[in-house]
Amino acid sequence: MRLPRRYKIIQFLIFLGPILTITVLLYAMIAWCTYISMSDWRSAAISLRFVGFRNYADVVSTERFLVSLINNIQWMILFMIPTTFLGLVLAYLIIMTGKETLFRTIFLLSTAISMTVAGTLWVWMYASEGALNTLFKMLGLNFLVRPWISDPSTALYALIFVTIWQYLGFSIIVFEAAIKGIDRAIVEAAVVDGASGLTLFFRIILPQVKHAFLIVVPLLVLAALKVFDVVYVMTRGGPGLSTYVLAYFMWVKAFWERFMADGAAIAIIILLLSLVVVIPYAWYALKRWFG
Amino acid sequence: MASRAPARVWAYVLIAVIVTAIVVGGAMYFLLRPAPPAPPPPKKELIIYHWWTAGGEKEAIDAVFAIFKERVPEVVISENPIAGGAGAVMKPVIWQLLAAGTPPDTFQVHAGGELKEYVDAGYLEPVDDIWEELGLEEVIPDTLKAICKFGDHYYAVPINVHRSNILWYNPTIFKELGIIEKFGDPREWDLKTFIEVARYIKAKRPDISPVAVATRNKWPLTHLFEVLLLLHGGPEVHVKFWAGMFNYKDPADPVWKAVREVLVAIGTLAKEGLFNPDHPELTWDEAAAKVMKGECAMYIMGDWVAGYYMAVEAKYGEEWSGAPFPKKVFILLSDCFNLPKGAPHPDIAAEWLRVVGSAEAQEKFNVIKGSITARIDVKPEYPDPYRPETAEDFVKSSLVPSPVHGGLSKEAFVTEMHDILTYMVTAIERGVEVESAVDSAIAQIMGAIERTGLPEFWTGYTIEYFITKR
Repeated sequence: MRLPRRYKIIQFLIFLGPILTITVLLYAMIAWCTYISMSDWRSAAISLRFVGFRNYADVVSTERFLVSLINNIQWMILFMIPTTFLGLVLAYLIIMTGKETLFRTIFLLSTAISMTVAGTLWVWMYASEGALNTLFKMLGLNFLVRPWISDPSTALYALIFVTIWQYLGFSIIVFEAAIKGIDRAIVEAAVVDGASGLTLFFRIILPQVKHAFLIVVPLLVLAALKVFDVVYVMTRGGPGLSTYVLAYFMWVKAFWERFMADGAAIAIIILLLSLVVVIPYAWYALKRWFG
Repeated sequence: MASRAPARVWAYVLIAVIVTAIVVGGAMYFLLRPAPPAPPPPKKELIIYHWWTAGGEKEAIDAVFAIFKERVPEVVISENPIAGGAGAVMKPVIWQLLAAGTPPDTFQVHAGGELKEYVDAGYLEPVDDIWEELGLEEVIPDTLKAICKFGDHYYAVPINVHRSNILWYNPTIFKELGIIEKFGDPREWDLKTFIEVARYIKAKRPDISPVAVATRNKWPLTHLFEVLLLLHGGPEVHVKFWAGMFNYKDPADPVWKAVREVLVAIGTLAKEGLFNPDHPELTWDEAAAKVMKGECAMYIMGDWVAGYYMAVEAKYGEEWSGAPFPKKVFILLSDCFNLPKGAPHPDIAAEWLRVVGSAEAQEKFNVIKGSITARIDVKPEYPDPYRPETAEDFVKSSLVPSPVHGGLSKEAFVTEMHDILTYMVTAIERGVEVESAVDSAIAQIMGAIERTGLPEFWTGYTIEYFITKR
């Protein structure tokens, strides 16, 4: 949209308020956090003597950091891929049934409840004598019966599943909107030409909802990078360190051990990891929309 | 499209102008309006933070509020209860209020290292005058005095005392297997006997777990370690280890020997399947319930377990019983209130502390809460079979503070211990050899002592300072 110059100035003035608020509150705080991460604030008393990258070295050299990083990466992949594709497929199927309101309500409900509630619910579901194992026993699937979150080899995946369950509704909504945005004429033309449901999905729908991927994928990746609540509520990073993640490590360091500087250092590391996702995304999106 | 754009822009401008007019107009009104006739007198208020929200605890603190209201009826109590066991949620909140320079009038804190962190940061006022006025020096035992006093000043008034070293057991199982006849009174057991008993129970009754533990919130495992280390190493080793007062860089130091033996004992319990296998999904009270139901035989946990059993009306002598473990030493923790620097109503806070330290409040609070009084001159009639014994031990046994509950050590170190110990147990349960898991745990503990600055934290204090020898 090409606008005359004066409109651009007016637009700029209108956006100045929000821009200033965000700049001051967010970017100044990031700068402040960066400074704290290089200070010696390691007790209840505020202390801001500059020590350089010592805190980063300390944090990165711990076992907890390594475990957290690997867990976060696993979380990113194992959470983002199923949530995105299930979201797309379910959105397509929901539209095909024509009962969108009903299904949307069903799937959005899990997204609507708070993670604290969902986490507590799932602790009970996953318990050795919980709903899930009882169900498997009833169905005769005894090989599936296991202490889901007590067993270090399944705990992380059990938690990742909870986040998929929580975010699926969000993914469905975005894809549903994208699919409905496709020009009906194209779809109708394909149907007239005799395209089957599958062909329609792969040849027509998929290429037309690329922009929805651009919304869903980065947001899910960011959600996986800063995941905290589900870990805090369900396992506190246990059994052992098997569900430790960076955000939980940050919280423990900053607010429990009172090593504010170390906590800030982890926060900055999480930010840098997020930027690895956000910058290519922003670059691609800007190029696509304005380039 | 192009023809409609200006109209939309004008609409935005109109909205922006209206919003700006409202905001600026409102601001101008508040800035320029005539001054109100007279400032209202400052409200008489007590701003207090505590974490007693669960059943029993809440009634206990309400009883103290009632006494306070009787004494100063004009004061409004502005209560900020923040749920979360042991202040897990409240501590970060308080710390931020203090750092921001907006302290409350008083807040709940554990006596000991936890209190010292606030004192070191310069957030608290001494309360020596209140100690003197109430004559607390004469009626509070040395170890508890020591963990309220840093430098030459008292910084908090204790309201209660809990004991951390109790072995809870299921009397029906003990009777059935003849544990006490065979191994003697648990009050006199040593570490070796404890492991033998666990193995014996497993051999006789493979369907039950001999030792209950709960690691969902991790700390109960560190609690188990705390009690076993005291049992095995005695009060000196206990204080040396948790306060970092030993030559921790030398693996040959005798403290490491005791720590290693206790870690091997815990590792053995894990390796031989003597813990309940579902421990990672349980909290401390759920583990206590397993003993009551006869699914586990023994449980090492503080005496808030008695409060839990009474709350769920479990039958004493049939479903639960407890033995001080060991009898001759009392690991104590205590909840206190204090006076932050810059508190908005310091006089009212001082009055609150006088109430907290009073015999009347101590008696009413503790009978309901399930703890015992910090003052030994107050001798309430406890309604349960457990507390008379522990109240007697408080006067007769040796005393040391509990590191896991803020009494000794440093919070950062204890937090790292939670992770190190649960990691060790998990590794062993997954098949790692006990010896190698213990080696790696010791290396990590050594690193944690160094990293968290534990020895520097207690520089200037002696081992004797914390121990009341009896």
